[in-house]
Amino acid sequence: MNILCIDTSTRHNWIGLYAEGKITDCVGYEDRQSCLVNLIPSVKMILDNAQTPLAAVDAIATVTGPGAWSSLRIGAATVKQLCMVNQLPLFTITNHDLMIETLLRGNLSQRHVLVTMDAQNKKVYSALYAIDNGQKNRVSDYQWEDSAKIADSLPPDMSDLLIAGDGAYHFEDRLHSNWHKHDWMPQYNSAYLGILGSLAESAQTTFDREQILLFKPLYIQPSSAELEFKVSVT
Amino acid sequence: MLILGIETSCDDTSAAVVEDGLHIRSNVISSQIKEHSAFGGIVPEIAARKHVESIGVIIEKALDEAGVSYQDLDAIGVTARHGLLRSIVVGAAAAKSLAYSLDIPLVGIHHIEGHIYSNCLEHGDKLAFPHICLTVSGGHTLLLLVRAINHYELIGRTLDDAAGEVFDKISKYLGLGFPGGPVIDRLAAEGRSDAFDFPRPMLNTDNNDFSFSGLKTAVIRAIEKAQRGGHDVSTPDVAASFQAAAVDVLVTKTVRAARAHGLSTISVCGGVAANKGLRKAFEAQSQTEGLSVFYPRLSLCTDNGAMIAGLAYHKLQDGMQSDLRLDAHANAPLGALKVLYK
Repeated sequence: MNILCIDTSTRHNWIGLYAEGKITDCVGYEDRQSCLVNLIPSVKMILDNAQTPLAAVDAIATVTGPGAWSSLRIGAATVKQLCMVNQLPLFTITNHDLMIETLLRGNLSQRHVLVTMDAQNKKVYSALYAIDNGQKNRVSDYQWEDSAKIADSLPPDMSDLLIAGDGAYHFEDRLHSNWHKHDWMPQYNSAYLGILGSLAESAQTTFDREQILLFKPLYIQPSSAELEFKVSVT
Repeated sequence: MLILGIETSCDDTSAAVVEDGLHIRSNVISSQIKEHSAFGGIVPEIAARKHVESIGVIIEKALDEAGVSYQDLDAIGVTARHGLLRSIVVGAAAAKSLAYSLDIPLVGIHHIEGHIYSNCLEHGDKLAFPHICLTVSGGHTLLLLVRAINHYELIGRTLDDAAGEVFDKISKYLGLGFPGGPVIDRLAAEGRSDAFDFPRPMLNTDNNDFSFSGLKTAVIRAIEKAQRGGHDVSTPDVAASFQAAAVDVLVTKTVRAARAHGLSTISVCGGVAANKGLRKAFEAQSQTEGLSVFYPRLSLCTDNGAMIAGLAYHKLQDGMQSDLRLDAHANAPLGALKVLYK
């Protein structure tokens, strides 16, 4: 199964081709300003290098966010049209779920994980997961909140908590004895693309016109105008 | 040749299919006015979010209405210059994805050039070259000498607010909501245009430039002064007097530019070209001065994909095509078009 993996959710943009259980070709770039310029040429380069025509791609996998708003939108608009024209199934996953899935494939020993992404101004995008027998269970909403407020909301008697993600540094001074932090993001290297591809392969998603047309990034955070006017339209 | 045009430079999501640069097979425009009205103006972040939600649906609808499939398309045209950057990139990303998937040419278009072309799309060969074009909207007020399609010379521009922007701001001040153009135009028809003697900024300067910021301030000060004096202010009278002043400047300077260049043809485009007061004033001038004045239909005054698709046809005919590395810019002069093409 050939799965085109496209992730523009963070400043580390990655495009890879997952085939025969592994990533066979991938390219990454770090400048989010160039996302529009580089994305489709990168897709073309990956497929050309792999001598895999677009018609031979079976599905697209992408990360919905949260993350950098403009590059999320560029990625979303791109994968929508790739899927519609080529009638390709679209597999989507949030950054928080992707982080947990990546951790689960490592040496995760904790029973609770707070996934955090830096959202600037001391805020984080977070979600709390309980881990049981290698299975994840998200036990909070996705939140965009002040890191101190998130820390205060965690039960202090919670044992063996891992705070992971590039927002973890905000919690440095709030760690209890059995809490650990892991300043990291899957996108720091290309290995996570294999996990994204395998998750898409396992999901066996089928082409769903309505799902693709309605697909939009996960922002979590309202626009500043919506906050100022206390009106929600997005 | 069937070209899909995509336009997302501001708050309208639009896609259209145009055949051979002239025959509009579909022109779907999804307005975001409802989403932005609560904020009294366009919020760029909200516009971008709405574009990404609706772009796929609008493209499918444009194809459906044209009775064509993706595979029938011969090229993709897309606005890649001038407007809200985070909005432009949504359309550009979709366009690049389509061009790559279908292995067909991609043509980046400057938004203003699209508006100029809207009259060519509407009137075809009836619109003579060279002519003077007034491009007037919420984002732009420009006077151009149009020598031919793809050949323009900027001869005048606003030095501050765009004319349409001032309509919006005065409407907001009067509590009339957003957008301001249509409501002021409607109220103006009910009011006295001589009720207030508003200034005509730069009317008699020896150039083709405009300024509308002072007019906006004068309107607000006149209302405040009347209210301080305990007088009731007639909103229709304010609307009529303000519109008369704005229209007077736009029409007078456009006609003067035409005369100065020895031309008798004028085209008017952009959102403010839909204004009934402006059209009426141009009609009056055209009769007394022997001018031919052209406007597009209302659906081609607003931002639309048809003008982008139509112009893309001519770009391709002239050998101009973009590559898949096409970028987007919020501000780009009309003179810098060459960078759009390989």
